[in-house]
Amino acid sequence: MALNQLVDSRDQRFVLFELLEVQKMKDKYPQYADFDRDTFEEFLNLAERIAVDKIYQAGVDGDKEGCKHDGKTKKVTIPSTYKAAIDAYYEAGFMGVFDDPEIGGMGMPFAIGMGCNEFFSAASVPMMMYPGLSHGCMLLVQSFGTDKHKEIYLPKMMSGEWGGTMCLTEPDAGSDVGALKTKAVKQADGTYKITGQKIFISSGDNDYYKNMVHPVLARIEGDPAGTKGISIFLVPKFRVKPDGSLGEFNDVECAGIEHKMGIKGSATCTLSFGDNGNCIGELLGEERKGMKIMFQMMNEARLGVGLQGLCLASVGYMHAITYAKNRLQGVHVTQMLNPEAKSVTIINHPDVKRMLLWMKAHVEGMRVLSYLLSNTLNIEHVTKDKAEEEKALALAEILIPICKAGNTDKSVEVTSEAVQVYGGYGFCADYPVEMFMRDSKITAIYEGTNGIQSMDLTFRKILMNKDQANYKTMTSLMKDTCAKAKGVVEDKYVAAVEKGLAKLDEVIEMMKGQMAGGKFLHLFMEATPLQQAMHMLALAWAHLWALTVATPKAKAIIGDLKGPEREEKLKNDPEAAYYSGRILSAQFYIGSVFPLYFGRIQSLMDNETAVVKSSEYTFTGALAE
Amino acid sequence: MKIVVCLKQVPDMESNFKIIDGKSIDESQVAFKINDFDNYAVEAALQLKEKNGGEVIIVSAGPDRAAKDIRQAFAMGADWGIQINDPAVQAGDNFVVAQCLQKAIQGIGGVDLVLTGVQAEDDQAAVTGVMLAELLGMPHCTNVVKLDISGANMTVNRELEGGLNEVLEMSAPAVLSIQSGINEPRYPTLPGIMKAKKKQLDAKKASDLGASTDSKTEFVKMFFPVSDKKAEIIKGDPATAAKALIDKLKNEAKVI
Repeated sequence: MALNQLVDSRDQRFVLFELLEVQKMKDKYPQYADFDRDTFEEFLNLAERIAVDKIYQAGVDGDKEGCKHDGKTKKVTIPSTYKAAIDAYYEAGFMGVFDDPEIGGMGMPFAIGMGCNEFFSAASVPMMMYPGLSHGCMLLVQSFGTDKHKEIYLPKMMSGEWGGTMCLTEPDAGSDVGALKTKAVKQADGTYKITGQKIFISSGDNDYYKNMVHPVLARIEGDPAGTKGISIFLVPKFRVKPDGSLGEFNDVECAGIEHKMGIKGSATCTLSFGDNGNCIGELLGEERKGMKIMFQMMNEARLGVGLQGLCLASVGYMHAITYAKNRLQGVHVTQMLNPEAKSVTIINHPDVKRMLLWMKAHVEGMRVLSYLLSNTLNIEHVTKDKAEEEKALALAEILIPICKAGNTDKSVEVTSEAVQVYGGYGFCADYPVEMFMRDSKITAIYEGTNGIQSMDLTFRKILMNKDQANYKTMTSLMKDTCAKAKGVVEDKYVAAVEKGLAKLDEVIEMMKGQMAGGKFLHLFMEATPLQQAMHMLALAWAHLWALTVATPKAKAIIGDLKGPEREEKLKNDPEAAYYSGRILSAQFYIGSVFPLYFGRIQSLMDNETAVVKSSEYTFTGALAE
Repeated sequence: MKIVVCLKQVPDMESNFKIIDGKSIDESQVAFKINDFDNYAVEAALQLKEKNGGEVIIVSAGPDRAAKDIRQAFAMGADWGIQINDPAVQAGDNFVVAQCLQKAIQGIGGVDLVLTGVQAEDDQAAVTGVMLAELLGMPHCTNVVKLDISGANMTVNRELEGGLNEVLEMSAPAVLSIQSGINEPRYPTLPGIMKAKKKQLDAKKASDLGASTDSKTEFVKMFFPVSDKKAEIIKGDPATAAKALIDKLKNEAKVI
């Protein structure tokens, strides 16, 4: 654990070992019996070293170089700096950090895997998409592949020899996946001939992996329209011989790559399957179960994108602190009339300090939320206790859209604020903060846009969820936190979260009535505002939880020191400084950011109908096309 | 080949150092790590093992906390180790450490090669390796930047000042102190970290080894070096300033 430009390692340890207490999992779940705190520390430290030494700079350079597509050969070249960095990730064994040892994984708790991945993705989101997408694909093969698939594909994907993708989107089937046109025709030998085009396929083609494995959503000839008729096929770039060696080219070509505002090192490909009638796929799972199978991977994928949001916010914030501590500009506001006053570093300006504390509060809150979600999914996987499993599933279900949409929207704002701290220099490509800002936007779009997440939250996860079990599981946990905070945390912070919970109950009750009354258009309109409010409440809760743990620890170290003595203590004792800072960011969030939540709630209660009333004719002044 | 690497755990130089009573460092604020130069020695040993077979043994004198970094070398691929964990050794000087290392290495028996870092990052004494060679009665070479081994014959490049290399022929067994840059030390791997937990690490005290803990030097005090900022800007036109500078160099600094 060291100082670095990516992640506040101390805060990460606070979440893992003081809030979630991951080190205690070994006592409860036998598969973690060998893993103690020291082992976790070694894994996290190694991830930090590789991320700092190998990945970060390669990622910054890779953004400038970008990806290239050769129109003649149809081959894609990824940034030249990426190879050695991705090699280091695979060689150390991070691909399988939390995977089942049966497939060559290390079998760590998910939250520790997330801790490692936080370093890697903070170092370079676009670079880590290559192993990230491959990991999702590998788990699909693990869950739904035949024994032969598993025997051949899994070791090669675990080692990084082969990579993988997820092929959903088509030119006319984005958010509406059911509209897809890719076709599968069954052959006499049981395989399927695939034809169609997929777009926006991350890592679709590249010069890192020797073979690519594409899970492709397609409709078997004659199957019904819409999502019910969709199946999923395993389509390699090169055919795979029975001994696992590479066979002939499988007619999967990259027709082009996108030129994007961010994640420039990640090749976003248009893939043509079977242009020459020679692309063969094998069915994964059963026919017409494609969406169900793909959805099993969605939780991991959405958790992953929520993590990307956290990582970009974190790396932007960490850069902003270092810059603000070193950049001399202007005199202190208390010395403005003193002509002899010397310039101070900008971190001493109240407005810059406010920006940093705003970023800190968001990054730390999002970190709690991401790790909690990861840990919850973990418990759901490993527990043998049915009640615990149901509770974990209910909590995970509701946290997924809150975490994905909330974290990624805030990531765009936090990285923007990082550019603001740098001022004009932040707008220049000489510093990497503008890259973080550019990279962040896609996280709000892909893996289900944040609008889709909000609708998922409002309808599937709350209003259509039986007895609102998901919602009640989450709010009951929040109420427990409030009860534990009483007497430990200053009353006003507990009262704010309690009041927030009561207000949300009112909104949900009202929405249930609107649902029963068939006011669907209104509810669709309010989905995103509800998601935004719930993300704010979730962060306020996370901060209250942090306050409950950090307050007594800070007291034990700092005691009643005040003024210059306290400052001296904070200067010389990193633990005192950490806990003190952690408390201040929590207080700032609940005391200064969270009041905005009540305005958001009021807007929901007020039922403004302007959006419902507006139509395509009321948006005037723009060209027809 | 049986190769011993002598490894020292040192404070991370980016730590916040506080001196207590002029005698020691407040360790509560300090992070520890493998001496960087020793890391190159570990890598050199692992490469030799991969080429010639054999085993890599870590020998380290350090308190409980040093076990973490010995196991880090295990996670990189070293086979087993000896930790000389004795407060009396820790309080001793480089000679005490060298003597303990000597006894431990002799106890292992049949060692073909001993590698050390060229120096430790903390005290920068660069003497332990040389003392160890003398005590073991083995030939040695310092500042090794290249190493070729064929059987017992070694060709060793020794770094000299001014970017020169001295090429030496030596025969094993020998002690070599390894300079940074000779290789790129590998990272541990996650499976390596798990395996490292089960590798043999023998704990020894000076008395177990039959080594003396009497220092040859006397510790006086520990202090932060005082930095003087006495730069003087000579004013005036170039001709006058040049004259003033020559005068100062001649009469004040007495360097010309």
